[in-house]
Amino acid sequence: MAAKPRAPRALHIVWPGIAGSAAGIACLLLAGSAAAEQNQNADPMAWMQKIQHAAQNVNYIGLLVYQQGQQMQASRITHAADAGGEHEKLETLDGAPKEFIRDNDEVKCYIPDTKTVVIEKRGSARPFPGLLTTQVGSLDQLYEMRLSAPDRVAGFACQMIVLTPKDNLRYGHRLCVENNSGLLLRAQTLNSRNEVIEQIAFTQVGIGVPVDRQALRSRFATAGSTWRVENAGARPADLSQSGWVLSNLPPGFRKVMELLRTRTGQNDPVGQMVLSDGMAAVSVFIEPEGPGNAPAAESRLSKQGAISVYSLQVGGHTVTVLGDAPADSVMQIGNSIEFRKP
Amino acid sequence: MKQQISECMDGELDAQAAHRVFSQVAESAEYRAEWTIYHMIGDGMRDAPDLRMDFVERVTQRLAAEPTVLAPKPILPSRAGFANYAMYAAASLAAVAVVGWIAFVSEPAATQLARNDAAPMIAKADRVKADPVRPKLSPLNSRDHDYLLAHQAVSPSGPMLGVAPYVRTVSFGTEANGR
Repeated sequence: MAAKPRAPRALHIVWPGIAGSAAGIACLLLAGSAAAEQNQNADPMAWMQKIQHAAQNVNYIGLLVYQQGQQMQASRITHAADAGGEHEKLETLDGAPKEFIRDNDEVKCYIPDTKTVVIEKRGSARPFPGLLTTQVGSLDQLYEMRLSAPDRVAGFACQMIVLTPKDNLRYGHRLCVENNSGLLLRAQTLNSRNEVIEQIAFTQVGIGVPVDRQALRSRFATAGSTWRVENAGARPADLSQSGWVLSNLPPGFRKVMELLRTRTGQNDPVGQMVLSDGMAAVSVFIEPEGPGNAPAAESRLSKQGAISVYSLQVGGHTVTVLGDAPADSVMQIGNSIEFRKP
Repeated sequence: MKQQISECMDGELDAQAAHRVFSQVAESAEYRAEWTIYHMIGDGMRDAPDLRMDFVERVTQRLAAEPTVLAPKPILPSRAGFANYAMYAAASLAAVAVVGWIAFVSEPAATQLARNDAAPMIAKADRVKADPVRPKLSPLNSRDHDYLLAHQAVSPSGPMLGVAPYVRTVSFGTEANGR
């Protein structure tokens, strides 16, 4: 976003001698700066950056409801940012209990039902959450962005931002952003007929509240120390170097990361390419055929909420494309993958 | 039924289910209106210029006004299937290339941007392969759930930063009875 030059508000104090005209000028200047602020508020891009900044820097505790199709899931989320970085907890309130604890780039998923802790560590391979900032510039080439009528979510007045895709290879979005903090209060994903296919919203939230360290600990932290640990380690990799090429990506999608994943009990690492257009994210998983991965006879397509999955066989590997994009989009990505012997 | 029309338009139904939808839409004025509205919404979102409810009627009238062509049925080559499909694909791509070329020639003052748009279209024609058939929808399997978790871990998914997108893995898990 281009920063609007701000009028120096102290100007009228500097020139006390010409009080009358100075007051007039000050008035003009103040009006100018108010207009600049107004402009900034009218810029959807500025709001997008505000959302991202708030997501990382604001403390909040709230109840989230996620809905897709016939499914609804309530959870409690606690987020704190301090000198040590970002700390977050998500606990499910419906169905089987599960907790996700994030400390910066490490996520621990506690599953009491199976007495398992899955640990995801991103390590140095983490271009996020800076990603949106770097790509926000091209967002308006892919989506028509506009501000819509103000709304109210979880008791807070919020600004509605509507992103309508310019092609049918991505979904639309309706975002409600709390006016002061920039915290995203509701996010709806829309298909090409403007129907909500997935949404997440706060039903109650405390913004800018103090967050107790204890509130960010898993209640399974102690018991979990005896549970089975699955280390879903990922390390940066160069999959194009080893011959995997994506030749025909949908417009705007760029490769933002390449990883090799290893999982406890599995020998062969799985390759993962992460693509994004600045809003939607799609992963391409490349898994060699082996004892744990029998090749499927034909390609496969699945959809749930905003997530589409397309799986096919390429050069003795199972390629699975998964992300919050329409089926056409994940199929185009999957069908564009080629293995060229390096 | 609305849901089915919607799924049908997304190509999510198998042939049998799609045929059921087609026949029901054909029989019911209400479903036909639904069908038209869905298409109009889609067209509207894609900025299509001609947004009118009577599109079908106008096309039908134009078709009725067309003279009947009496021509012998072409003899189909005995090798059916892929060869045929590839031929049609090649033919239609050639048409695209020609259209691109005509546009190119008939607009000498075309901007560089237009040239750039037309050029790759022609270039693509000699290395395009037919798109594989769209598979029937099937439910997510346990591997997908592992992948979804791995995807969320690094997903820069829009403004929903942090752990919030993990809600998906939970919600999907309850239905699929997996992770």
